[in-house]
Amino acid sequence: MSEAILNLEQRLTALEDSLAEAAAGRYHELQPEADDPLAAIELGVNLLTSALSKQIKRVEEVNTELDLRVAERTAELEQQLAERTRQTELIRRQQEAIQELSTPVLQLWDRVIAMPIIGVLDTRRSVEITQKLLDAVANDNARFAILDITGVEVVDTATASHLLQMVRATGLLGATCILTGVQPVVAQTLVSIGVDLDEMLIRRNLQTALRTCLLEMTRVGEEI
Amino acid sequence: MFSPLTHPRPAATIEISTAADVLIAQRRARVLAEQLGFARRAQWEFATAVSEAATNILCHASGGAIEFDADDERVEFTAIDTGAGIADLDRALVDGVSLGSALERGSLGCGMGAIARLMDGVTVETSACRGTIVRAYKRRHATARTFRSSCPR
Repeated sequence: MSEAILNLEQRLTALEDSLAEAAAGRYHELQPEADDPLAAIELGVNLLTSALSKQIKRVEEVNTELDLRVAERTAELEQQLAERTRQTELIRRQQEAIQELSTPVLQLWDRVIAMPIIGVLDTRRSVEITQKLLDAVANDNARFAILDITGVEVVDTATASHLLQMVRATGLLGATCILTGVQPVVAQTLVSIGVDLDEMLIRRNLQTALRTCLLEMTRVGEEI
Repeated sequence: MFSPLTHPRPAATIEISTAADVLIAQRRARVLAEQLGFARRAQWEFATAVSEAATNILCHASGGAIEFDADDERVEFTAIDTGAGIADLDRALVDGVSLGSALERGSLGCGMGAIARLMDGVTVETSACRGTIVRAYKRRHATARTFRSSCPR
């Protein structure tokens, strides 16, 4: 070695510290104490660590920002999901309510119940209504069940078939089904289709149906 | 197939996937016939035929749609589904034949026959892979009824 290096041990320690600091993202500037070869290294290390720490800081900033955005978006999505779930639940409950409200069972008289049917009578609804009807017949010991279809605008073959099934099922429980509320134009259409409702007991409206029930119960000597 | 209508009014398409759609199709059909000045009975016959077709879509196919079209002389609907097709069209037209899926078991099975009786003209195209297209029209003033079918298999 041609030149002596001043405070070699101390300066090497300082270099080591500076590198360690840089690794942790902090910039610690070295102060060259002499104009010697080590000073050149110290300056070089200064340049590198300053650049490195700036990079690390920037990456950390970007990461923090990303984390923040991810958190924000997640919260947003969670909120949307919660809202969606709430709406789905609301729709489900409203559907249940509509189902319940659309097929009430009316106790018209002792052992005479009536069910107004509204809208369309698809398979699912027909099954539900039949279940309700049969439960009501069984629980109230009903003799007569009046199905009123005033609220069914269009009666097609499927509807007619569902009605026939209800009538048969009720008959199996020993009760009699009476169909009311067939609109004149519906009657004409049923004739055009050729649907045969002969096995159904049909009355013009609830009033005449109820009269039929009462007359029949009187006839067989039941208390009314 | 009869020729397309020359002066179509704004057509409407109703997707059929739930019972509520059947109700919407019925109502749309009746209102359309009413707007065109069809007699009350004819309005209901048209609506009922549409209901039969919509119910068929619901019961026999996974999905489909009803399209309406009309001119001054007649009103028509086209029911398109992507179901399995009708295996024996002539038999399907005989009342009480079509048992359908378990869902519809016990139906009168006269949906197709009913459409033929309610409308003035019906054409049916059916194939196992492409599903079924039922097109039917009703004239304002009813004349002799025609029925044609094709079954390319």
